Amino acid sequence: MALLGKDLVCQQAVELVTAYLDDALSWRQRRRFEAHLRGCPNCSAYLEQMRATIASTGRIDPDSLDPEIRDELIKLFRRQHRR
Amino acid sequence: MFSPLPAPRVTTFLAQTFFAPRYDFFRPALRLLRLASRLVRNEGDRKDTRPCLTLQIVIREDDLLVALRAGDDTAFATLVDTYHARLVRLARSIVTSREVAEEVVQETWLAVVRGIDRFEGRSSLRTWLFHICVNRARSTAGKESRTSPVDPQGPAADAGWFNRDGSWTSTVEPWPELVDDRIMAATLADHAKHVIEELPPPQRQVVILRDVEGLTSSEVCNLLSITEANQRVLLHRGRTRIRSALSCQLRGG
Repeated sequence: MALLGKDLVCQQAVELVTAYLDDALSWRQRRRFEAHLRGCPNCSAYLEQMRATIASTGRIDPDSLDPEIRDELIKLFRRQHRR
Repeated sequence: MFSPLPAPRVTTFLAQTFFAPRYDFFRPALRLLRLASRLVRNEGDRKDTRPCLTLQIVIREDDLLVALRAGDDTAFATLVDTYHARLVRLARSIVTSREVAEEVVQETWLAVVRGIDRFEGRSSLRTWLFHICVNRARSTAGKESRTSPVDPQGPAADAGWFNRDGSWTSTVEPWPELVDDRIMAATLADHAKHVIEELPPPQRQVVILRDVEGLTSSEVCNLLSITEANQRVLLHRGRTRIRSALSCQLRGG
């Protein structure tokens, strides 16, 4: 990655957000990323938005289960177990 | 006999943490479940479905396994209630239609029922279920889907967000605090759900497993047979798309 020596620009920083949140950046990359965030309210807000996005995705409920399918599956389990 | 009380609703919750209590909580929990389901069945013809009683029962996976092997159908029902819709969602990200996804999940359950005695508990029950489901879905979808997803090239973010020097063209406004606003949180989750349905399948699979189901990156790599780097690119692209969509929603556009 072309992150050697130079300071990050915003366009590069936003591409590192997922790796940062996964703790997958090298020590050097992480330090550079955090240094950029300290000086950049836009990227800091972006990082928070990504966190909020992940939280929203985590709140998605599964669809409800069709009671007929449920009954069929339980019957299948009973049949299988009688053998 | 016909009191105006609505039927009880029982939700079961499978413990997936290490913090589940060590004592045997399962037998009384199962008894309660049976009692409650009998109540629901007796009152089944009532129109009012508001819960008069909500029980949340935490069941440890070990206990569930023991009960499943013993042929306890309440335990199997708990498993179906917990995972069926989630397996359909996962299968749907691999096969072409909802109907095929339902079939894949039916096959998954059959494999579970037949294989429960062979399950060694080296992975969690959830990971095992997901493994069976992904493998079935992939073989149904055909050989082409079995090859690992390819990294899309280039940045995930829209180039139009940035100036030529790589800085933002406009201010990124922080989102309002969503923690206290349940309605807003539910709206956003619902919106995220629709965006996920439109993601390219490899991104969709990774986002569902990582962010909806909460699997770790190594679990996801293992499940989908992809590298950490590939997984991260797909996740990052998916999240970037969802963030943009939620941002539009929050701005009311």
